[in-house]
Amino acid sequence: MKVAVIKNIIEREDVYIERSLPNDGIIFVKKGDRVSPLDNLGSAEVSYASVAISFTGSLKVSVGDSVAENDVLSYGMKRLKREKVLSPIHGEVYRIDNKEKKIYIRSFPQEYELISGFEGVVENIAEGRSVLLKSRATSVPGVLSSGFGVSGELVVFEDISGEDNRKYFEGKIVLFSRNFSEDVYKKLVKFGTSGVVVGGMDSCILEEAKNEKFPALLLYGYGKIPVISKVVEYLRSIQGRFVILRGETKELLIPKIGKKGTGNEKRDEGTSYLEGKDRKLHSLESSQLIGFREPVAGDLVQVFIRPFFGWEGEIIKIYDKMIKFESKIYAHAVRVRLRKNKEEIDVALRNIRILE
Amino acid sequence: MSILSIDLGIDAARCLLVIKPGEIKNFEIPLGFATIPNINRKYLLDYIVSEVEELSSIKIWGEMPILIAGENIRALRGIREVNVYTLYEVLKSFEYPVLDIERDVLFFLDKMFFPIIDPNRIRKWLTFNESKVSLKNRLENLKIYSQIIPQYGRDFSISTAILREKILNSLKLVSWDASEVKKPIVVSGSFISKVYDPGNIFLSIIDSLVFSGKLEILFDRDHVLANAAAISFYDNKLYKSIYSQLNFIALGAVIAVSEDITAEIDLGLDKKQKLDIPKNSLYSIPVDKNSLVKVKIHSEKMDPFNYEVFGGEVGVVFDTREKPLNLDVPVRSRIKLLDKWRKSLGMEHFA
Repeated sequence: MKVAVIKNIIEREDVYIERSLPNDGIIFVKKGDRVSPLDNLGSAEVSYASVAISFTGSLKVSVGDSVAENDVLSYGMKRLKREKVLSPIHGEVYRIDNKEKKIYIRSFPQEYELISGFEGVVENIAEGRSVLLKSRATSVPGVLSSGFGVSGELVVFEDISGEDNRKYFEGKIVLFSRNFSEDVYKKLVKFGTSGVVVGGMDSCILEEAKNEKFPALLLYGYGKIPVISKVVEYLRSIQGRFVILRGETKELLIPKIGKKGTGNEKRDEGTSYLEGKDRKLHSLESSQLIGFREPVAGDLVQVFIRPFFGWEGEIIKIYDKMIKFESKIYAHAVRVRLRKNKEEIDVALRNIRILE
Repeated sequence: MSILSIDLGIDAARCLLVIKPGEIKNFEIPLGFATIPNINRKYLLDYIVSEVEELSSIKIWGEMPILIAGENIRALRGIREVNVYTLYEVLKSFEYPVLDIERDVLFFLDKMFFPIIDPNRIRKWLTFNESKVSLKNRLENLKIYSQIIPQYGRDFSISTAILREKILNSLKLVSWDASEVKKPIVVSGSFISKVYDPGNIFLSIIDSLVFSGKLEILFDRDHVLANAAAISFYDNKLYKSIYSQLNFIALGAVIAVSEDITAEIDLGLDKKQKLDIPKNSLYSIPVDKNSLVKVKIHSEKMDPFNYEVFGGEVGVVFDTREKPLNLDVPVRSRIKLLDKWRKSLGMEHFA
């Protein structure tokens, strides 16, 4: 009986990535331009901070005024004492609400540069707003996400229980390779992490991430599922690089850097089981499934039975005949030695997939 | 006449190859790609047919009609010279009434349902403690990995609980009259095929179907219902010539009356048997599939009623439980009840 063979790291030649400005601005490139990862595609003026301050008494500023940090915004009286309201930031007063007694200040705009992050060709442009690039990337596909995406620097962690410095997490995308719990989730959110990639998480945590619009990518399913070692090793090797967590397509994209292929290189066509050139089972470059084949001893596999759901292991024996499981079901099976704890278990062929 | 009928599910393609009316072969080609994005479905059919050719050593393309029905046919319409049907249209017109339970859909008699499963209700069928979080994770993972089969006892118990809840959730607002079901019901589907033991299947069905009267149940052990129904839809004469080779197992019959009853049973022996069966019980008598049993049911609250049923692997079961079953009782009482019902059909449970 044949089993699915899966790739967990896929090389993609045709990836479409939209790079957007946070506000309306200027796009420098045009359709058909070739870009490299450090190219500036466009720019916009962006205020990074905005505050609303309650005031009392008489105002000392008006709309359009520039203020510095600690400048007096108003004087009032409180318990027979003079009370000053000070500006917490440098910026511009852009609105005053006399009814609500609030002053709105935004920081002075700074120039935001839209860095490509990817090597590729400009496929299309939304004037003043975004650029669609056609590029090459390595994809690590998942099965579930919170639906939201983010881009940024990737960092890899196994355990964050001893970590207290938010600088390692703030603004970054974290691959958490071990058992992901609610405590870990809350800590990452508290530290300002931009997004998280895990083997699995409880369904209630994913619900929370969806409600909080927090980008999360689950590679294998629900529950505490470790990330398989090949993926961890690969992502550790590219730690610190710019990546995109894409919620809608449930994948992590890593830009490819370097000379584009000439097109003559051997491409992975997948395993062909059919005769005749028009009856090939193609593995699309974007497809995780390579094909189906009989398992052999030594194959690395992922098992899908509790309590080892999503664990990886090695086939050490293939049973000639169907075996009977505790559930009284008879099935074709293999014996697997689990990588994590070296335990040997029998697994029905329906409950494994071979890792390429 | 030769024909290939493919039931294209999410987890596997089940193929019934009719080589000639006296010779049929079944093959299951596992797919299990539910989670894999961007699968090129255009070539999927090629793969399935090539596997069947290899396994059967028979040339199929261009040599015989290919019929496809199933949950997973969306991408296949218009491809090559194949006849594509929805599961619904073939099951609706099948000679036997059906109860077919697939991953996302349930077919009962001539209707289609999309059951929604409540994890809290699943827990009520279990005789062990499974946390809500863990159970929810399991149920959600089953949607992604629909091909996996339960290996351990607890997984199996959860599968049968899901089966019951799918039926209950689908049929709770549907009234149907068992007396109008004149033929045995065929039970089938990817969920049913994972519940291997006949006693467990029988109990799962009668636990969740709400009716009074008699019902005979056939079990589609080889999961060929969709194949057979597609063949019947396409060429009824061919279907009739192969029907006897299809492995529809007679599980038995259930007589459901939610009262204290006395059953007068005529097994064709010298004397009739009399059984007093109190309300809220399950009682089975061993009767094989070829034996016709005549039963007269006496109860204080209704006129005597006569039934004639055939037996099967489970036999003839008298079910005097009030339906739908009330499991909203304290945990210990509930476990005791579930155990009692299982034991009355000679089944063990997984704790």
